[in-house]
Amino acid sequence: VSQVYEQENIQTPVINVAGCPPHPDWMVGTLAHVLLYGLPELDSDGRPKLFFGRNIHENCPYRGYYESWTMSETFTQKEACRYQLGCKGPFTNADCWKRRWNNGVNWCVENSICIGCVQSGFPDAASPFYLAM
Amino acid sequence: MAGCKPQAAPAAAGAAGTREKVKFSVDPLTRIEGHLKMEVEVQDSKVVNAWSSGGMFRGFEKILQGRDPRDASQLTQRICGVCPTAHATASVLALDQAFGVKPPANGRVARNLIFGANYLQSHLLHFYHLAALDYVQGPDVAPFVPRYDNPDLRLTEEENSIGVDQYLEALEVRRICHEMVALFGGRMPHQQGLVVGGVTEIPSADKIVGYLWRFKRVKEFVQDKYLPLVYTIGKAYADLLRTGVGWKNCIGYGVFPLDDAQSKHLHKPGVYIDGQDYELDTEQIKEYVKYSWYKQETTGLNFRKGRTEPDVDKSGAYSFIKAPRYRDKPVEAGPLARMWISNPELSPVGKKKLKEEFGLNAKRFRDLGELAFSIMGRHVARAEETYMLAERMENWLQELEPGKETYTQSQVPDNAEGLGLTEAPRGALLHYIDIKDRVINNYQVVSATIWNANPRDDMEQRGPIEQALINVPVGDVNSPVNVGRLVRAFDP
Repeated sequence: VSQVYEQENIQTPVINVAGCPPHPDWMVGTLAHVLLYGLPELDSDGRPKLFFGRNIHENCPYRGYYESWTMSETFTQKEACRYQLGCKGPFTNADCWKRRWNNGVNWCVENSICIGCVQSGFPDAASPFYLAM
Repeated sequence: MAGCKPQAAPAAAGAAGTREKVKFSVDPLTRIEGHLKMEVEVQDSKVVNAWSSGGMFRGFEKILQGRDPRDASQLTQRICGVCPTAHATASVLALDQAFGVKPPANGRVARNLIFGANYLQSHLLHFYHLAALDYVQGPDVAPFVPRYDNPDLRLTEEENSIGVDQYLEALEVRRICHEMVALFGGRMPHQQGLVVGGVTEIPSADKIVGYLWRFKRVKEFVQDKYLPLVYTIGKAYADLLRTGVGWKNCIGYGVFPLDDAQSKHLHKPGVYIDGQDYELDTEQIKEYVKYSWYKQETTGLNFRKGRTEPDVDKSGAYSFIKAPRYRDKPVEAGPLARMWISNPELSPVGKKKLKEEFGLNAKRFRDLGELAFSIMGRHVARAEETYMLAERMENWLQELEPGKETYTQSQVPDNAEGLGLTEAPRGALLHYIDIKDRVINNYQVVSATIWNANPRDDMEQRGPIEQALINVPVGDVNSPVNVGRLVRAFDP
């Protein structure tokens, strides 16, 4: 969309609310921000920094296991880091680690791994999902 | 939104009961999951011919080629935002077979509970937020308007107000169902939790309890509101229990495995053709493309040899949906097909209402007889199935053991085939994977809507929805409300 707007010299700013699917809070929050406070600050991919400004891996509750290289060998081994299972948290910027999903009952990394669904190039850039990058 | 105008309705054709044939299309047919156009020919206030057209090429089969097989269960979920759980389920079943692995008991039960919660959500979504607006008159504000000029809305003021209250409450109940899916599956839509070999998260006692209290609220709604409202509507629209017969052929793949060998299911697999029951044999499935925008040399293939080669300039073709046939017969899929094949006992509410309102002494689903194959019969089947499933989910919750393994480790095979047979809420769903050199060589999906909304086949037989439209009353071609009712009853 941004490219077409540039080609056609359309000045309307583009906000990318990324995700497959985007979190409802990101959608509603972005719209509310535009209405109440104007355009939110965007990152280089045009995503609101408010929601996509921090890295999942750096803020992950299992980060300590990464530091000590305690790696999950199977999906159900939860007292460990999921990096070796293919978790794309290190390459993904979103606030899932604190916002969580579906009224906060769970989120991808607690349950399994992150497949980087908010990053540009998803899904090809994140595939194979279940191999460490 | 409600009541889109027929596009090409000729100006002179407004009069009811015209003897002239009038052809028009409803495009897009709104309030469905996907994208469909219905073209119908009306004569003497009845549909005399119909063409169902899917105008969107998806090509997921192409996207999957050459990828790591395990990616399939994630990517195929993106086929549908309403039933990602069904595609994930079919995909992991295909992968389980190809990888030669089965989930442990706790994983099987957790899968059932993830999928079950999605079923409850999907059936409530279908009835309240897609179909009910054809029967319940809401206030004159969106989403209840716009509607047709002659919307044929027959409920009393009180019944309408109950319907609208439940429409709103159902939004919240659906949110609760999503939370149930996410508790064990990670999130909804698109679960991270469903993988080859089982489920990625061993349920904690905390999450099981969280699921349980949410489930009780949903079950109450199904039992006390959804089920009775369907029968209330059925009474007001009793003629629609005799409208929309179709081919009276059914297919079901079986769903919700009850044992670890996965040989027994809540709904058993089977086929019902020309009044006879048969065991399911997937070799009998062939996909025809004479009227579909695919290369004609790919017609008549079993999905194991299936190819997805679009040919958009093909003359005579009118749909991107292929025409699958079982033993060369069109068969319908969905709650009606499942309930007919399984023939379970009806709910206490159902038995009571059928006796009081319709004078029917029905104990089991097939006791509905001819009435089952109708617009209302399909709604009754869906509502009765929701109730039956909720009853069983209560048992599964008791079977689920906190802290017990839900996953079996496996390796990507060098070369293997796998078939995943399940039932999406809207009907029979098949995923087939062929792995060569550790990557996907071929992947084929035959989904429920492909079974129901397909065009004519190479033998010139209409698809199930096309056939069910025949004889559907259309008194006013500018308000073809029964066309929408019929198509929506299939939940395409």
